[in-house]
Amino acid sequence: MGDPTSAGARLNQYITKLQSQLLELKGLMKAFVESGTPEDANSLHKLAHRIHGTAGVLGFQRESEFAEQVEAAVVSPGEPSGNTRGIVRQLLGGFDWDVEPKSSRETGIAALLAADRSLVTESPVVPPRVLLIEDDPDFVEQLVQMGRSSLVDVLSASTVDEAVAIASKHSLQGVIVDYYLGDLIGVDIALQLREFEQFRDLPFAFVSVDDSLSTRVACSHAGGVFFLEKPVSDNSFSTLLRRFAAMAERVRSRILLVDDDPDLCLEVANWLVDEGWAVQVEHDARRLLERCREWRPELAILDLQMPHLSGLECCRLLRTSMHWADLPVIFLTANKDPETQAQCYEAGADDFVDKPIIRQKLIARVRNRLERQVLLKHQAERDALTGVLNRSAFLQRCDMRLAEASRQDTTATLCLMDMDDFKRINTIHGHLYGDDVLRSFGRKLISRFRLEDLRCRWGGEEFVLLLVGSNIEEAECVMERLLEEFAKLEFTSPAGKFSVTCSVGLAQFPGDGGTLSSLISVADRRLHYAKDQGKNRVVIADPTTPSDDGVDRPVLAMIVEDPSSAKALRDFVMDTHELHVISDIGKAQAEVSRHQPDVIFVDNELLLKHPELRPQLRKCAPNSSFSRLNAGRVDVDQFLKLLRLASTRGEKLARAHKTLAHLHDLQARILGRINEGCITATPQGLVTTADEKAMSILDDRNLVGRALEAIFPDQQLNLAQCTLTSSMSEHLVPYEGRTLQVTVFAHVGHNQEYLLLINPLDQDQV
Amino acid sequence: MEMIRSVLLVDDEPDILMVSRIALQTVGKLEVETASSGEEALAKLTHAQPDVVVLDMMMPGMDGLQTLNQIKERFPSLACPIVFMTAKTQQAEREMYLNAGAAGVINKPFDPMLLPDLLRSIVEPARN
Repeated sequence: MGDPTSAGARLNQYITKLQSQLLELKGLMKAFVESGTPEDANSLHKLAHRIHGTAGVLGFQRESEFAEQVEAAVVSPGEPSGNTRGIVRQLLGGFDWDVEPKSSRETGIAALLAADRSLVTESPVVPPRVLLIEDDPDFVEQLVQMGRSSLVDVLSASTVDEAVAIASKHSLQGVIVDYYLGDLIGVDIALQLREFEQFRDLPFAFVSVDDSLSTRVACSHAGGVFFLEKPVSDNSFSTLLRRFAAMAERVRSRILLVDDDPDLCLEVANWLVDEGWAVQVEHDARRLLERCREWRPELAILDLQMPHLSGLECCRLLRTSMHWADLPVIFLTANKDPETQAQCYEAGADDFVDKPIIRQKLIARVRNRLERQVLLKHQAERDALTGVLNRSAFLQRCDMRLAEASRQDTTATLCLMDMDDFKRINTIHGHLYGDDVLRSFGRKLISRFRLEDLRCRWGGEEFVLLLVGSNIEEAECVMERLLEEFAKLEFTSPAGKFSVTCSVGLAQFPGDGGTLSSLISVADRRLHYAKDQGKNRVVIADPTTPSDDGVDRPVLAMIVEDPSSAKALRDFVMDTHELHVISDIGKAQAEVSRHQPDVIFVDNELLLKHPELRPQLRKCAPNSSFSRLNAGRVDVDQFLKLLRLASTRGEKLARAHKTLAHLHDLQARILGRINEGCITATPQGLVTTADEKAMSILDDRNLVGRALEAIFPDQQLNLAQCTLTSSMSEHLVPYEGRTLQVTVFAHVGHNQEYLLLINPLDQDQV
Repeated sequence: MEMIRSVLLVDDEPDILMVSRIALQTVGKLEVETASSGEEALAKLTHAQPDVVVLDMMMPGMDGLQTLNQIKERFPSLACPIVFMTAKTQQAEREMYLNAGAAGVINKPFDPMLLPDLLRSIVEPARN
């Protein structure tokens, strides 16, 4: 129930403060009497006002009333009259400055301060436990000792069966596995353990003398969150324990126990902690809401009879608050009569337990409620088919993880995975068996990687994985092992046996992007590249400028009579596609045979005039797709639509179309900004202003460059040397013999929006 | 009559803020958010929706009246009553505050133990 000493100390603190304020007041009064300046009057008025209010509230009547008189005397501090100085002089002499301040509200204030529990801290009740899988008794002894000095119980097991037996009996914070266990490899043991319910949610760490990359990769593949080198130092061991503790807090259910009886609290809290739950105790029911806000419990246990605020009142308080209306509440009550029970339910209780409390009874009820709660949360956050996070839950958590990584200055890798030829599998084997594939892929994702890594079904047959703290090369190794394991799985349907492969694109945080959406777009690009390269592979870097060497660009042929009508189309295409405009019908066949275009566009009128053209062209280029348009009247949207229709014919077309559509979008947005007056086109280039409206929507460097070129074909704005980053950075970009200073501000929101401020510098500034 | 449950308390004096907060919490059983300036109060109002705002009149930066005007301007949908705390007790001033839109005026110094009752007596009839 609070701490009277610190409450007293707080009041004494104020008395000291008041004394020094009075001293200051005396000095200001004297100065004012002597000078009479408005400045002195002003500061005097301020201080007097402050003492009047504060001292009064805390019960120092004499001081407050005196200050009030001073305040009233200098009430219009703008023009102090001679008379004011006389009054202040009188007041100065009439006050007994040596009397020590005394509060008439001392008892009341002290009681108030004592009730304020922000002074009191709770300590943990039961030491946390970790399990060590080890066959060397000396090493076990060493870690037990080290654990003791960190107040952690280290339990040990040397076989899987022993480990499972221990985990069934005790709640654990984490598992440490020796990499070399006699003839066995610790990684295999860990993978076996993770198949058991008891270990599914526990973080694993590995310990080994061998810290080569391959060992580390194997460990992280098996879900290791931490790698301890042998010999183990105190420092690294305590870092590991802290890591376990932090993760346990994240996973364990949080229970708030509110009871005014400290002995009972300790006893019950111990039972709960033994079950692996995190518990906080509050003796003062009046602090309930505050504690809920701080601790965010998933369940509350309330004593029915408490001073100040009864359990029923507490419960009603929770039920009427916005955040805690659905918090499960269990009552502890000495009354067994039906009337009390009815009251409890009426107040919004979920359950209650009679006093004297029987341990098993309480635990069973708490477990029931928590499990339901966890289940509901689980259902809301998980993808029903695969068991991994759904998209919205992933987005939420991912933001948190990335923010955390950025604070701790660590990296993370985003892996975007897509099943290869999944549509074909659905067609051949049926959707039921397609679901089978997704389900087992989800299971694989769950049983591999670390607990803190995020797995998500992004949609359809796409999955995303966020590996926290790993660099992209490590992630590549881990993903390759996953692909290998996955490709080995054999599925059976009525149509026969089959296996499935998967392609992956990786993006590194923060190098490839500072936001989830920018990472996704990079990973997506690489995923497409992985598909282009023949699928069933991991791609960690962008292909070397495919659009520059021209090999990868889809080829379009456009056959129109009037070459000027093709100009608009040429503008639409930009450089994402290779475009050949053919206006000489006589040469059409030869040109088409030579270029073998992916798509042939033919003007409608031309086709009407030359009905033989189409079959002729078909013969020259049997793999081309054919599209008709009204060359004179086509607009961007129609053209993009035609391209999109043609895109179904291959990854290359699809990718180029996507880029082109994005470019057009970007161009429209930049143009929109220019029309709004946010970006000004000047002979020096583009100038945006730094006000909020002027956030130009700029994404990928190349795309931006190309979009700008498309808008300002006459200006060679060179953004090539300007690397867009997610943090504010400055770049000097040469431009037509001048230098542009390009400041890239932090990304804005999740739309890969950047604010670019482009200033042409004068030569002498450079 | 609707009960008040949460209060945003704005005062630049940390001691008053502390004592009033504890009194409102323990005696009044209210949820209390505090702010030590008008600016901070406006910031807190973007995510909190208290049942009543208590503003000290004389604060450095924005004073109580300015803060009240800002609250009305920026949070037009926030229908909660606003109560002033002031050491000035002249009737004319009091009326000016009420005309400016304050639900009531609490005179400083006040007895912290009585603050919750004082607040309820001002606000709860006003809500009706």
